Amino acid sequence: MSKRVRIRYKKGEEIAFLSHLDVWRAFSRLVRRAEIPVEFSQGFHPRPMISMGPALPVGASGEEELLDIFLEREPDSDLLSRLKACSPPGLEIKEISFVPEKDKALTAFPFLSLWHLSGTWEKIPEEGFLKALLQREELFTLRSTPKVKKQINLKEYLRALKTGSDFLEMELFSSPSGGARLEEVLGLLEREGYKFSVQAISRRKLIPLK
Amino acid sequence: MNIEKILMQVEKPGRYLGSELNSIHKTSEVPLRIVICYPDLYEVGMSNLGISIIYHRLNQEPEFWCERAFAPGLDLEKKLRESHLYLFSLESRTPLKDFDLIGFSLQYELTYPQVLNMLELGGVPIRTEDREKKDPVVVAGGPCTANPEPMAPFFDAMLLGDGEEASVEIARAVLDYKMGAISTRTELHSVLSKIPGVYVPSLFEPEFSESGIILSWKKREEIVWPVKSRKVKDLDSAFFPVKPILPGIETIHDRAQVELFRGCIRGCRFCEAGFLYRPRRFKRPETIISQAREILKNTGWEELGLVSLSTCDYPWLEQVLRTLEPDLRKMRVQISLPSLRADSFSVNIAKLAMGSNITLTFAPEAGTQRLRNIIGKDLNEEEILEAIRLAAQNGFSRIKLYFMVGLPGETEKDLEGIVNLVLKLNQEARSINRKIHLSVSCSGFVPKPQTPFQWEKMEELSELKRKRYFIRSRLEQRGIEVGGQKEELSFLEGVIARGDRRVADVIEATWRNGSRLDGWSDHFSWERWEKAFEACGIDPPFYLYRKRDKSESLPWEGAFYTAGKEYLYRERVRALSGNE
Repeated sequence: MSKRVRIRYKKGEEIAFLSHLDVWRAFSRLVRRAEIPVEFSQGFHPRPMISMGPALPVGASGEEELLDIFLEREPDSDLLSRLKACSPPGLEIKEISFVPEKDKALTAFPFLSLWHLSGTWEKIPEEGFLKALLQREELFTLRSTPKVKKQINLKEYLRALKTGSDFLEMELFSSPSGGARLEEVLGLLEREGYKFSVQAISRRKLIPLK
Repeated sequence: MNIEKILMQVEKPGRYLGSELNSIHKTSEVPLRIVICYPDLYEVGMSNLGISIIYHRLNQEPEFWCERAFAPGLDLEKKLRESHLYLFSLESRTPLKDFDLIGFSLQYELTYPQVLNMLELGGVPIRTEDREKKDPVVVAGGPCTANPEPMAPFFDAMLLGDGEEASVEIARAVLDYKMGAISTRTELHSVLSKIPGVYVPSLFEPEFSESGIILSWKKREEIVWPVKSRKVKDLDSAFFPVKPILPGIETIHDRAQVELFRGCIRGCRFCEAGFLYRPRRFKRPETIISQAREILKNTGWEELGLVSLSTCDYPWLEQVLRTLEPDLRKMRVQISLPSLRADSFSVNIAKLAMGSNITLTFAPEAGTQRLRNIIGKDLNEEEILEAIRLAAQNGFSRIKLYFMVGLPGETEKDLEGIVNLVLKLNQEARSINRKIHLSVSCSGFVPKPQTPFQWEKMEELSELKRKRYFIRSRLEQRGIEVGGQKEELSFLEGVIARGDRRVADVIEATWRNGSRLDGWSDHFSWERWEKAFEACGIDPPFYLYRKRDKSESLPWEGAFYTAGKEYLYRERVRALSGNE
């Protein structure tokens, strides 16, 4: 058994409005309540060693989110049940696994994410349009932050699109060097004449790639 | 538009979650629906221990369900108005208008416009006289009920003092009203007024002379007058929430809180809280230890605050800290001890409990011994110096000093005294540790009701500004920052805290002009208040710049805390005659 535990958890709809940092804080308190022998950082303000996987935006829920907890010793066999018992409303611990301590950080993996957005279309894109869109050579969009403005090629990240009368699903690739934002894909569709207004966002799958 | 969709579009939607750990959800079949409201943002309100006590106390009773509501952010308010939606409770997203009982916590005068805002946004008529049978009963509690009058027209009842039991008694009466055992609101008011500590504004009314002074109080019926504040006798057996709500987002005091004692053993004459919470009531160390352990177990908080008006005056503080130490170390829980005194004992305790990587705050309050004697601040220069030396030797590198200007009996010498004292302390500290960073907070004194200075005039706005500038210009030359509350805020705090029922119109007017979160400097607007005073024909100097005569009927005369008028007056005479 390793002292590094990978947790798959669900960030439910009722806590979709929490930020990534808020979720980290919720876990730091969960491990204290559950009296898990977690490792703490050094310094004036010791923090439990919990390293989060790729961030969910504020407002999004996630079915299969990931994080790693570092323990100071090998855990007792009831680790999972203690974590489950002490979870706050909206956070559901799905499974735990042990990973080698020296393994690279979760944030260093490329990921494939499956996003499900529910909401309403002003006009639903036809099947053919989506197919053609994904086959285009380039899908440039402008990303502007207060500091930089740059062109992003969504083609590098957008792997699949699926629509229904009240939803939009997309598969996005991301790596430590970058990814696409949901609103960039929505903006692209809107410029093509298909405006979608979002009611709820959920990351249904989060798959770490080699 | 529904609420959840709106929340997708506001900043910090985590404020409106409602499903936080330990929040209480019952079914809507519960006989009495209550919402407890805090007229400021979630981050502030969730840090308030009073809210937590009342929320969990009421929810102990099977016939009540108490939920929470906070001031909406400005962006949410705008969206609610655009979409014609009501302000809602967090737990069940119920519009405020659909509750049976609404309770507000009044902690700071500048939040009063937000009370009206929340009521109106929640679909509730703001004035008691406009509420009908179907409308909620609206009550208030908290330290600002030291002078209930400026908010009197908006509340069916106001509680003076401790709410642990009185809140339940008030709710029972409202349940009787809902069930028909009490038939009219007038009758309900009469029943509420019989609960000890409950002030029912509709039962009496001040009558004013031509010059605006209160001549007499016209009573509608036989009532207890003045209303005596409610006191919990024994804090060990009193209700205390050991399973408090763990907020989803970071709050301003994001920590477990255990009260050590209520009241204060010191007799500072300027301190309203010191008088309101008398007598001093200690909790036993065993109670504190077990409550602290339970709260930490139930929340997982990384910090534990041991709170009171003057923490180091708790006689068994070291015993509590020593006993808790192993538990705290195991889970790396930090201690927070607010309200320390500037003496060596406090510095030692702070070092022991919190380590030296915190900002130590001390409040000498005044710059000379003479003035400290007048205001009853039991602290001499040698003690302060010793505390600073000890702090410097123990590696504390950030020290903040609190002073007030505009105190009764203050002269130019006292201002120079602040400058000299700070420079002396700075020199002393830096001779031990060059890296020490000393800063100063200097705010205008507001003579508060229920204190020996309640009859004094408040220092004029321009003088407060001049005095702070005097101190700031001299200290900043020497590299010491001087902050403090904006003088306009102290001025308004003074008018409202010292005001009578007519000031209610100003609060309504400034709210209608757009005042929302005026305690936040980035939302504060002086113009809105100026306009409101003018429109209502209220002259602030009448409330602030006039020494009141002992024979004058004061607006807060109907609220009796522990110290009676005669005692307060004797203290005032003692203070100002120089006979300590």
